[in-house]
Amino acid sequence: MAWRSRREALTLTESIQLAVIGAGPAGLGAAIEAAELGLPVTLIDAAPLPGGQYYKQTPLAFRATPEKNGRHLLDRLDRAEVRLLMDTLVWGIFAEPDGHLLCLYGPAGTPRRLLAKRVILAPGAHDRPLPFPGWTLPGVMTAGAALNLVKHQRVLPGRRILLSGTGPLQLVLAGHLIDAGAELVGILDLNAFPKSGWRHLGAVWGQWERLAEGWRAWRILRSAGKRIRWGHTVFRALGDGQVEQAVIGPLDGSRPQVVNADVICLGYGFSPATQLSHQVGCEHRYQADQRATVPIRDAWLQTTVNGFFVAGDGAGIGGKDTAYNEGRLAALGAARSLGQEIDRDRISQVRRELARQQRFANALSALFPQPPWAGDLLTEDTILCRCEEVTVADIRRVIDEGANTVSAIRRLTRAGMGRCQGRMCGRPVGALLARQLGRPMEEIAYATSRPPIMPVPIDGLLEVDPRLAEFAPARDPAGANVSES
Amino acid sequence: MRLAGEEQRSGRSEHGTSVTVQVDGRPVRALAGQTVAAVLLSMGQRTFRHTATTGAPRGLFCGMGVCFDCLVTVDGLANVRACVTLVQDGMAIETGGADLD
Repeated sequence: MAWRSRREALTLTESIQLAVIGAGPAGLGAAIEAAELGLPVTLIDAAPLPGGQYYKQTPLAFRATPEKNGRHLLDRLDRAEVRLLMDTLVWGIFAEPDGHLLCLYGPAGTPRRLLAKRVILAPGAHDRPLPFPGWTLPGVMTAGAALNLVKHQRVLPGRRILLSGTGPLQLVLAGHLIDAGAELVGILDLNAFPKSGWRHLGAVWGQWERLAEGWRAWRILRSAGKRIRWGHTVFRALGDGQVEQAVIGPLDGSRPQVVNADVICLGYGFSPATQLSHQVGCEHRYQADQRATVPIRDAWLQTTVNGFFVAGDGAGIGGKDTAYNEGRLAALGAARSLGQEIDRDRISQVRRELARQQRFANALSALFPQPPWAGDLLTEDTILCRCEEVTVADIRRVIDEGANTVSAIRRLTRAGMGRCQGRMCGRPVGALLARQLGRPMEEIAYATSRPPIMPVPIDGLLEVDPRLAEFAPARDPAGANVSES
Repeated sequence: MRLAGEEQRSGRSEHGTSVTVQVDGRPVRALAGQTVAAVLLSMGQRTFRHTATTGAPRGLFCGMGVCFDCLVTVDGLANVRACVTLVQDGMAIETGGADLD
């Protein structure tokens, strides 16, 4: 975005010290820590209530009992000197000589442009999509979607539910679904039964809250007579207009079996949300154990962009406690870089806690490794890009014609150009490309991420710079005008 | 555990206050604080729209506002995410349509 004059740009812009983007565990840790250090801090989140996905708050109008989830942090947030901007999307960030210019879209009265000296990005993650034939049929949904429905909306997504994925989240979801009276037609875990689990006892020691949650879910499963089928996955969803059946079986494709189900929940782990860190221009690298591309950070969690920090799952999946402590560390780093003196004990306490959490995360990823490339599940007509309905065959064709980056595939097929901006198809397309070219994932660059990182009404862009009006199309009375880069 | 779907049908709730929304012109009882997606699913409706390119049916997928699959029309505004939009009394929800760009 080019301003006609710098002065003009700045008169419309509010200058702040520290912006924290995302009000989940990492963002809450960062904002509370910064406030305790006496640093003026603005916390921004697109949801109506703070908490993020992990400490997701049941909507106020819908609470039968006081919300306990995340209360320890949210009470501290209430007491802290933190300016909260909720329902507010940060759709783009631009480098300025004296800070980072954040472009916001939110309710009336929300500033549209913030110039922040320091930024802590805490974007979290979303369920890792794993494409297979039929995965766009209504009834196929992520484990996160199903968990939200049953926990926060008290609605079952269907009657006969199949879970396919890996790791403890599935167990937790299964517990909630059985509790709510759903019929579970199967719980499939892609990984083999973790026989060497005892080796990780040391790392699990002290993680009582997590163990209790797992134990509770395990007992519900046992008393319902449900077993996990290890080394199994879903291969195909079948149905006329919506899910009616699923083809399941062992990973090697032997002994496939058809089961009746109206919902298939996919719990294959999480993908870090790197849209903003990419858009800002932070350098990223492929982290093999996470099977994800994550921003490169220094000991204070600062990225390769000066004054721009990333904390929590957005920099690699580590869970809520790692995220919270990373948020704290980033706040300490931001305060230190603004010239504040930081108490050494405070720093070493956070670092010790992070090391302890890291041991637990390592044990968990050894027990439930992120699923490998599941290309064998794909058929030529499997849709990879849900938004633009681009198939495996479409993408293979342009690779054969010479496309050798995810960005090139996007330009030629529109895969990743739709409303989700590649959040669902980016990794699968990259994995298909790597396999076709016979190259490791490390060499496959992520597609360029451009603002707006999510669809924003044209009005929202105009509010940031009224001069853009001359480029805007006539407004559609239905309000359907949406800018998609 | 009591499910909101039952509460909606019975009209008795220990959760939110009862509201009425129009789903494709039909009055439907819902609870304040519920998402549009939760109301549609508790009615047993899994298809929320059809795609513009091939007309394929789509419904709730990510449930957290990132995949843009669950789009419906709310009070005349197209392309609204059902999974992150809370119902309000008198809200008009239209499903099934092809998405518009």
